[in-house]
Amino acid sequence: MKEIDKLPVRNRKGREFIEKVGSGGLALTSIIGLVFLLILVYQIAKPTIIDGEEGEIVAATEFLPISDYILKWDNPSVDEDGNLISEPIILQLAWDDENGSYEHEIEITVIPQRNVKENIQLNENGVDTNEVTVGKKTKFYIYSTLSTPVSVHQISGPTPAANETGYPQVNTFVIQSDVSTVFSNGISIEEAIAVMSWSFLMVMILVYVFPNEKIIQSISSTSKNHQIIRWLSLAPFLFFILNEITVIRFFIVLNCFIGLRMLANLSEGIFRLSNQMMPLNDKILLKHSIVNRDGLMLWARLFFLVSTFFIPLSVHIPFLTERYQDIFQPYSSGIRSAFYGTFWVMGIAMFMAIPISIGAAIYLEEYAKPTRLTKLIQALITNLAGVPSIVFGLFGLAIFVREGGFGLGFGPSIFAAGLTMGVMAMPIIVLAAQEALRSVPRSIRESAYGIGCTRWQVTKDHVLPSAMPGMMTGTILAMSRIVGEAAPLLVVGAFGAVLFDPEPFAALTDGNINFTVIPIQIYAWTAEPGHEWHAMAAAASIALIAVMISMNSIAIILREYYRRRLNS
Amino acid sequence: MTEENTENDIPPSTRKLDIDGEAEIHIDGLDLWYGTKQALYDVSLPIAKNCVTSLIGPSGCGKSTLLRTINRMNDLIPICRYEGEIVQGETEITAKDADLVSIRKNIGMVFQRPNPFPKSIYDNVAYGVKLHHKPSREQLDSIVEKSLKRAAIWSEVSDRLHDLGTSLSGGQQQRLCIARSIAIEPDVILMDEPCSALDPIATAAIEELILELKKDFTVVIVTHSMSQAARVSDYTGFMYLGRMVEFNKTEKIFSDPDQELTKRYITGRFG
Amino acid sequence: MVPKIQFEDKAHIFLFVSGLSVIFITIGIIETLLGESVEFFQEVAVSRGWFGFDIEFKGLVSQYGMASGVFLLCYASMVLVRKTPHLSTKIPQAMVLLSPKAVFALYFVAFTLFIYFDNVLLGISMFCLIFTWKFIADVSFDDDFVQQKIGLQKTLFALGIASFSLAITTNYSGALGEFFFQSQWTPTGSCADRRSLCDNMSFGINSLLFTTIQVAFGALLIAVPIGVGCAIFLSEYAQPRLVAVVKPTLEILAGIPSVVYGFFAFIYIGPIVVEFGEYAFTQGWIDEPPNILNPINGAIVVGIMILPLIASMSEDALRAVPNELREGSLALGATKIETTVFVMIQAALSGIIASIILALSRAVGETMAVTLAVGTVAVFTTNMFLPAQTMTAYIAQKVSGDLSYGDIGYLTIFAAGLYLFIITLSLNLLGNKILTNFREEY
Repeated sequence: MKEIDKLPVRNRKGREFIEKVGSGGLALTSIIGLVFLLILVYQIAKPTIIDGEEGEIVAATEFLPISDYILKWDNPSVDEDGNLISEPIILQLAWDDENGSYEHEIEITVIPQRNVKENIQLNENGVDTNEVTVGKKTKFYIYSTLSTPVSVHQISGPTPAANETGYPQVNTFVIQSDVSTVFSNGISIEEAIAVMSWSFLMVMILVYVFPNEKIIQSISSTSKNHQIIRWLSLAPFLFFILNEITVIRFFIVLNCFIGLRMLANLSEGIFRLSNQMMPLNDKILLKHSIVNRDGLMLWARLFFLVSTFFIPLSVHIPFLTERYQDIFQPYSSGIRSAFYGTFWVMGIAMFMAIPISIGAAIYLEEYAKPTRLTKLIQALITNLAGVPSIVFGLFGLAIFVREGGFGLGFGPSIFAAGLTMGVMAMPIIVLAAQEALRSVPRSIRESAYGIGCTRWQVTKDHVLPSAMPGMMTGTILAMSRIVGEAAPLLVVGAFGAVLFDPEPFAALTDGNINFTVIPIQIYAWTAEPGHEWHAMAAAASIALIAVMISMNSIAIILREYYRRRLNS
Repeated sequence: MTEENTENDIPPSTRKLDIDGEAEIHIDGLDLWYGTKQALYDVSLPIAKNCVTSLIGPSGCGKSTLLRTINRMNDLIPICRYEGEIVQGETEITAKDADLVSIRKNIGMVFQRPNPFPKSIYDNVAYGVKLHHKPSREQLDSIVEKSLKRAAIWSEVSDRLHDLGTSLSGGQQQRLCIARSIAIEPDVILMDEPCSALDPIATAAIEELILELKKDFTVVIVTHSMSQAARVSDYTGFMYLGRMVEFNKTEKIFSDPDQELTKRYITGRFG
Repeated sequence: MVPKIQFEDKAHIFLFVSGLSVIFITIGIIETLLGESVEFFQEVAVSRGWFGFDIEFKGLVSQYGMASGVFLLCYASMVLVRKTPHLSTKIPQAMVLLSPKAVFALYFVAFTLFIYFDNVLLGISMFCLIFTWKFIADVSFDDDFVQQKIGLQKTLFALGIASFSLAITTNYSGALGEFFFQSQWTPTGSCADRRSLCDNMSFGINSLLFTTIQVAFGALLIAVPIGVGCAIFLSEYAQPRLVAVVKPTLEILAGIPSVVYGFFAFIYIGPIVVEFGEYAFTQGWIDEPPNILNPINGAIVVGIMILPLIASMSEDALRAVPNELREGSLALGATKIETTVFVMIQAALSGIIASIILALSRAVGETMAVTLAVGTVAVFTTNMFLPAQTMTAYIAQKVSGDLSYGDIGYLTIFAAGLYLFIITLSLNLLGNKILTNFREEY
């Protein structure tokens, strides 16, 4: 009998019971976390499906403001042969002025083609026409030179932005999209070029993955001129100078650029192989002779995949890129101005934040001696990352927006908003970049110093390439965090209802500085009474979450890709 | 040397397992796998009561694995599975429905790196007792004092029992861990290279302690150092690549081993 | 070689400047907030002076006064017994020695009084009195016992002082006194000219601060048990395959923008809270019918927001604890839950606390969700079913209206922002300090 056994013993069954209850309770807590997410997703997804009798779109009836009024029908009212397939669309324009009251009826025919339009002119004598023919999904205007508002009342016919029945279909998703090919409305030169650039990129990817002997042979004839191709690959950017940037043009240029770059590197590789009298049909040899093959392939695949949604296909999400907010018809609103606003704000923020933060991170990790100043900077960065976003908003308000004092006086503009967001992103990016730099093994630095590199050479040639993926991941994650921030922009002065494309540099050129971003749009719509607006807020939330998740996935893909490459 | 050659060179696990007196634990035909990799091959071993049994062998030979199987710490590794039998008196340790709590209460363990809990010295020792029993305050005080005295650390810590256990030096921490495991009065104490993280003076103290503990407990010790095994143990098992190559009295192993492999190891020709 | 060295110098300078820019930003933030706040206080001080306070003495006969008397009596007797142990032996034993049954009966009486009197402090003071009595009895038999209970003694003293200060009501005024100690927040009073300062305006930040605290601590009430539980489950119990599902889910939850949470609170949580509130109203627990915008709504949604933060940071802390501690406890025959509760949580405690502090800071600074969920009425109310306003929500509401630079309304948002900044910065400093110490430990 041991001495300890004389002590009273704890009940084993009780201990087992506590074990079971405890582990069950802990499992329950993490299930609760999942349940929260499910409820959140369900509650956001639910209102974006238009339900039953409540989802009615009102007719195009409102007061015409002094200058002009935009109209647009989404669906044709006549078929290919010109026969009416629905009630005729008739608008009644009425106004009172000193000469008495006027009333005019206009019949509008919406034909299945796009981009056909006739504008309506209004003056003291009345309306210039009684019948107009416009294409579907095409904006046209009623211009007024009167000094009084005009009431526009739709008497009959399907309403704008509705489906064939004239009403939003029950159980349809608010963010409707239609997929067609780019040739659906006939071939234009630009679309032909677009498809060519897309196919060129596809061919280059195929050649890289399955190097065919014949193709390699034919490329080898140009292999001496690889330097010329390399310079040529910059040529597509001239396209930007000649033309306004659209999504399709953006992808044309990038596809061509990456494709040509791939071609240049391939022919350089072939050139090198043939100089050394190596056989061209050895796939592995070829693979290793191409400079930066992995990186090019990653970017090429990424752009190929993304551009597929725009070039051979053409995915139209009117909610995202075509419709402005429609003050009178919630269900036909969109977030076009908010979408572009977000794009520009993020662009300016990153343009400002990335160089400075990466520079600061490199300084702190590679150059700084542990002086009191460095420690102070480090402590400030760590704590700035946790300062509430609205405080950054106040900073932006006083420094960038306001004039006088320290204020730079950009006004409540995209430029000021972008700078504010950049300041907010800085500490986050610095911390991520420092983490990335810290994870570069000491041995790399030491071996580089060992062969006599200067500090800047070590940093530029050895440390940065290894740390780059971590920095990129951190930057993208910082972006995805600030893309959802509404508070600072609210303080800076983002506007709830903006019915035009924002001008990014309006603050510098004295243009119209008003802008909005997606989170602000959600906020404005949530604050509106009426569940239609809440449906639109939910739809915008889905768009925002989709943007964030896609950013995060890019970050994760990059991280995994580079991690695999560094390990191999 | 290819894999097959090594397999052919090493002898199978020995069945020559004689001990004087009674055995506390019988290990019989133990095979153990980590995933698909086999770590122990048909190992059998008796552990003599109130003696020190030491396990020696080169790195990766499965000494620690064998030790961790005795109180089923290997169950914490999800990919680990085993066949064979370990019996302590009446209880079959390797049984599927075995009561892990009482097994681990009866078979204490001291780890490679000292791992005192982030509690006071007093609570470190009292923790195990309070888990299994409901002692009164006075009883607990006396158990703590007795355990610390048996672990030969009482004189150093008696005036600061409420300091953190982690504030002690490495050797003191390891003795605290020993005190912690003897507080619940196990039958067997397993020691997994208890001195590998310690300086020579602390090592000497621990070795002295092991010899002292032998009177009340059965001790199994895994060690890298052959001289340590020679100094403290009564029986020694030599393991190689998962096999128990030779088991015998310590003097016999170190003076006149049966196997050529053992001889080469203890004379330092390999490993 | 020469140009390279020159470039190296330039790179160094550029990098140094970008490092310095962080200092400029911090100085900019502090300068902005401080400058405008000082202007605000100066403007208020012009009409009301800087600081002033007057005391209204309610007397010791009030319940708070009685409580303070009892607390201080307990404190004094404890100090006396501790300092001069021989004194306690002189007390006749029959007087201090109570049978356990009598102590139990006294506790019961005190508990009845506690419920009857409807004054928490007075009730607690009764308990303390009985406890002190028992303590003195213990001391007179056991000298070693004297050394302990210092913490309780300090608490008693603090409680005594606190109830004493409640017994005397003070009224602070002046720019600083009004801002920090009053709880009436009407920055746009019904003045003829609402841009400038007038007497109807009142700048007591406490009504905003109180709601902020309600929301932040309410959020912690939800997020801490679930978040820490989730972290423990993931690090101690869950199979790797399950972790691979739960962790990304939490990361998604953490990545969702706060305005979306605000929308969620507005359309989903609000109505549910109102149902509970209506039930409470019909039962007579609250005086006024609930509103769809209320601090409970905000607390729940902020709780869901900071949950993933607590979960992932606590999990990191638990994973940082060396495996040997876990094995050491299991080897003593502890069950898994005993190991978790008695060893793992204790070892990772400072990491977990740091995560809670940083989450608290996030909850205090949270804006959009709170603006949409809590409401826009700046009142000091304990009824959490009525709309209120937090500091961040006030700033958000103020800036979305028309704001003219330099008027008193514009200055108030900077004063509120500075207060917010100080609170969150000190929380962050504390949290990061604890976290650094924790990382150094392991």
